[in-house]
Amino acid sequence: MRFDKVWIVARKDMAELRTNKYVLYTLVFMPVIMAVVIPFSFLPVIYTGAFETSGEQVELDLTPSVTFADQKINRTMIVNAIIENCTIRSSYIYASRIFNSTLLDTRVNGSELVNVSVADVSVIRNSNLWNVDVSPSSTTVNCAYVDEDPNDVRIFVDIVLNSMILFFMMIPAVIPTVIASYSFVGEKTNKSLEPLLATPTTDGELLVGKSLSIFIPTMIATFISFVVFTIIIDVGTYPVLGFYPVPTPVWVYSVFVLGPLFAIMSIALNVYVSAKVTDVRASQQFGSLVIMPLVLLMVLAIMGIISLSIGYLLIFTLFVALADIGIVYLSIKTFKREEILVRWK
Amino acid sequence: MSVMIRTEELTRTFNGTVAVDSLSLEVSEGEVFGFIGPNGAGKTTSVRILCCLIGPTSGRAFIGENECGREPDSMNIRQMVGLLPESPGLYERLSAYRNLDFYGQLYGVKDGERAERIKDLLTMLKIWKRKDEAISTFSKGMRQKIAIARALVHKPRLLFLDEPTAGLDPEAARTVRRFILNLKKEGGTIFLNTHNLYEAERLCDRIGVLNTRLIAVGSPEELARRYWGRTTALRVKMLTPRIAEAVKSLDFVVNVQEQDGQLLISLDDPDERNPAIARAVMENGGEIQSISEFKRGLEEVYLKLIGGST
Repeated sequence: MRFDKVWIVARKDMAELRTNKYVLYTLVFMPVIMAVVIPFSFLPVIYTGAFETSGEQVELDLTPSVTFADQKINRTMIVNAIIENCTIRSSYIYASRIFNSTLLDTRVNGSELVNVSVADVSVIRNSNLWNVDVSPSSTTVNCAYVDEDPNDVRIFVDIVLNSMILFFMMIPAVIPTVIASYSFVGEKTNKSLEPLLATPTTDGELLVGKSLSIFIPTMIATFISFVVFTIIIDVGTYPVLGFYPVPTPVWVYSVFVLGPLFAIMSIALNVYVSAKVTDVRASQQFGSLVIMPLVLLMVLAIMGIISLSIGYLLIFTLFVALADIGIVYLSIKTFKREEILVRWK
Repeated sequence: MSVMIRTEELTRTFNGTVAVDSLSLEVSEGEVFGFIGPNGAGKTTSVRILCCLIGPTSGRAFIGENECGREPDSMNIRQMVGLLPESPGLYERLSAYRNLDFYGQLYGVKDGERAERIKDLLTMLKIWKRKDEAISTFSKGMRQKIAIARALVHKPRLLFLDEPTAGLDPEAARTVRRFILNLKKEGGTIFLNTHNLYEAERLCDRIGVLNTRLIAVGSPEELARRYWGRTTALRVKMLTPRIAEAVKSLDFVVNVQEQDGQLLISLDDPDERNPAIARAVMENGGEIQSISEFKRGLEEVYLKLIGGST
């Protein structure tokens, strides 16, 4: 592959895209929404105290009289108990001590939790927590993390900010669907592919050149958005938190690894779709299917099935990379001179 | 003169439908060759195969020494040919200059030479003043001129023009035709697909009549002679049935038609036989106003050939 030819094609396509107002709107508005509007709409929540920031222990009135051990407890209200090694589902617990247990879809109030895993839309209020793992789908309100992990960091960084990354990933996933629709389908409807295919370039050089012209502005928009988002969040939250909460490893990993993979998936999918549709809008509609894996990840995270940790993201990356390989293979098979001139609609 | 295009039993089918059937053809360097034929005759498919855009189903095609569809020959062919497709296919948002510059770069024309070449072409086509304007502001005729300039930006040894004047107004079509004539004078090899028989007759050294199969090849005059014989046009002051009968009765006359008050007499050798015709007319009381060779147009040849083949 001759990179000079690739770059000539990419530069021409980028020059053309710069004059396309629809592409420019997308390149500007989407990052503005993700990197500016969402953080600014979130900042007032911190300042109004909806998210607890105190690590002070709560005064509890605990006089346990009953002990549950090694039980599976379901749909039960428990008051003044000691609970050990139990799995508790869809229950309500008040003024109790819970040790080495798992809480699922359960409400807890005025209790002490030690070595407890909290998941599946559970809510813990007015309690003292020692080594408690709260999944992103669950929340704690007015609780005190008594171990070394500060309560506010857990909520704000692990749950809220890391959840935002899924929305943020829309930038590299969606922008290419708009640009690619003009770059591939637009060129097809404009009938400018035939003279281009008659030039002394290989199919691969044309495909990579056109793809680069989409990938480069997409990733620039993503990186700039990431920087702006980081600045807004850090500057906005520092007075309350006393530290800079982003970038976290999850964010850096997502922006620099998952982002490019989503962009590649989106571009390749659009190349494949270009052969099947005859107008730009249809291409955009099909191309937007690329957000489905993101939606799946969001649903899994909201349901508490997975947490947005590097470990889970690595597994997710593997799936996205495999999907990328498949879709890129299809796009290479689709973008051949003979295919374009004979079989493209 | 060396052979620029050579095809041997070239065939292309699409899902079982034959688009080009056993095409065997040679076009010499410096020749202007035209394909005429109805829609779906395989003209565009032939050009696409010759430009290495699609491959043949069977048979072979060569541009110079390079075989179409074989690497690295295909890349060499694309470098040495210029193509004007049916639709100009320009980048509407980019300027005329940027369009040509992009293709010049892809063809590997060096910076200084490219700028000079673009200027020459746009000046020749009288578009230089509007070089920085977006193509979307151009008329259809101007777009076609830019598309022709694009096909020429790398000084191709062989130029393929697919319907170069289709859809243009008469003035724009004439400008394009003049431009092609200039290229012809400069000795360029041109392969022209057209429905415009006047254009084919005017521009082409040789013409191929294609209707999936190649029906006939030759210069416009050769084709007319081959399919109509030679014709003498005779105009007399008072054309009477007696005169017409006298001409018809001559044993060397193949056919006689009356058209616009004159007799069109088909025969093998007018130079030898015209005096005998003149004598027969005068002996039957006719006063000859003029006697000349009548040239059959390409349209008549085309209709006879295509009518016979469909």
